[in-house]
Amino acid sequence: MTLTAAPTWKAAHASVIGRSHAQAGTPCQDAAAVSRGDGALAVCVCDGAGSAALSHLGSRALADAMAVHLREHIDGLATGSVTQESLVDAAAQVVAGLVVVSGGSPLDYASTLVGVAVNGRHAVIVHLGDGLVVRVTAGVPEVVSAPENGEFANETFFVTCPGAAMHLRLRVLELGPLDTSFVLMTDGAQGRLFNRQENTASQVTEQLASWLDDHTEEDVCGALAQFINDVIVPATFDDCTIAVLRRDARVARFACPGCRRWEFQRKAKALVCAACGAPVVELLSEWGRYTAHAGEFVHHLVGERGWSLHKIERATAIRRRTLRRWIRSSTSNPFLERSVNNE
Amino acid sequence: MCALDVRTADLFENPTHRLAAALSLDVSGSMSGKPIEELNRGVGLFYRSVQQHALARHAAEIGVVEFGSGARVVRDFEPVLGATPPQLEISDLYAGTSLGSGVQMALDLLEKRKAEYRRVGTSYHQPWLVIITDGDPTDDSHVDAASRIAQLVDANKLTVFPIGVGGADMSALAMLSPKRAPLRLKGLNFEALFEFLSRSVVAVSTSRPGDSVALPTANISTWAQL
Repeated sequence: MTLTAAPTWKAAHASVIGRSHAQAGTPCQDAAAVSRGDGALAVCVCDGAGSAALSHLGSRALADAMAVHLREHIDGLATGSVTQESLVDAAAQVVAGLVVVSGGSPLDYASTLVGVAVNGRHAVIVHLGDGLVVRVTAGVPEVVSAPENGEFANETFFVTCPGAAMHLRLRVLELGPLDTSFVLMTDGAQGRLFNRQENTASQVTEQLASWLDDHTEEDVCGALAQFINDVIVPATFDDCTIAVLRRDARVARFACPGCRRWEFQRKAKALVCAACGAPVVELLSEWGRYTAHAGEFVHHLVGERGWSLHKIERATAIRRRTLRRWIRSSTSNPFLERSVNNE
Repeated sequence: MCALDVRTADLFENPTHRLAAALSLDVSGSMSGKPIEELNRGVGLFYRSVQQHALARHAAEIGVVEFGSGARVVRDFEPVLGATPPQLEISDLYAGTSLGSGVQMALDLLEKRKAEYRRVGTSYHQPWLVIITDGDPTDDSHVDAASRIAQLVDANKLTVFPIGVGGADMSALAMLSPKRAPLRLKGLNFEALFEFLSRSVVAVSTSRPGDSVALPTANISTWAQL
């Protein structure tokens, strides 16, 4: 048992077969897996090489085994006692096991590896080949591990390549209070979510992760598959995988329910999202009732911005009596506690 | 509860992985008449059939160089989508066949294009060089060109398609292609050749990382011999 806090992370993932493999009747070569326990959570996504005959088995086994391996070794990885070489060795052992069971040579199981392990304090990023890891801080996505391709578009690196440890990138991030999500994806899903020229990630990554605030992991897995089918698959021939990790909803402040950014501004006396321009008051109510977001948002205005109830009432048209009730009813909100302490 | 949807306005559109194909074409006097007509028809077909493929038309960029005693850029690289095929003509200025000049100029064009891809962050496939000639080289320029190609091919940086027409000097073409034996076109079957090339463009542009691309070589013997 580790000394770190219990995990406040949720995770969901989906892999969808691409048009090339669907037309050819060959299996999806992407795989993803989640491992939980001992105060940590790890997610791995793997993209089997198109040229390797059994890479659909390789990616499946590597995702499963490496998710467990990363989670079990998160402390060693965070302190640097577990090295790139040992991770590649662990992957090689998985592949060696596959060779015994299913035959062929290790190269037949070639696969990329993208993994994120989190506990209460650290996030460890492990990345070999193409694919992407995005971290979202204060509602803003940032690419923390970019794809590694060769000179040409159809060249990348695999765990079975000679010198794989040279290409395996290991990154340890200290978790800040405003880090809310991690999003992992394989090369196929990058098309609509990663801007190659600017090395930036789409705001949609945070929108996908935020689904876990209000929905179960199972529901989000299904919705991710639907999203990939509707939006990502038409833009590529490749198999597509997306995995999302989301910190407990209480950590996140109020975000625009449309684009999930955290910045707001006043426009013609009304509050609007600074990023997408959506009027906040309209977003706060659904069927004539205020959503759960409305309460979070009021806490944000009081706690983070020091707004008076009078000012909030003028900007949101929510009556002061209602505002007071919300503030009284959730003193567990960390941001509200902070504001009380400040006073 | 927030709904399980996203703002599609926040999605990106990325440029397709590019495939630059340089055509280095012989327009010396011996190509006059039927050969140049068939070549033009073949090049036109190449443009059109690549334009018909949903992905390849966004991926393929074609540049055209012609050579006789010297070489000239007919078309710098341009996306095949929206491009009209060039009409090549026999030039009186070109009394000879400087095979190497045509190849060198096409390679220069490719280098320049790759540099542009890198500058704007567009990813690209291994570029192509298609060489079509019908005669004996009239100078030794192909010797230098051959060593430049050998370096590129050894480093896996170039795919070469050397094609001989009529009484072309196949040994000179073979020097320009260290890995792939040159093809001798049967008659003037440029149409079948460019059909093959456009299918190959599709195969490459729909390939994914880690794929080894198999070119559609099954029916080559019906229109060419090794």
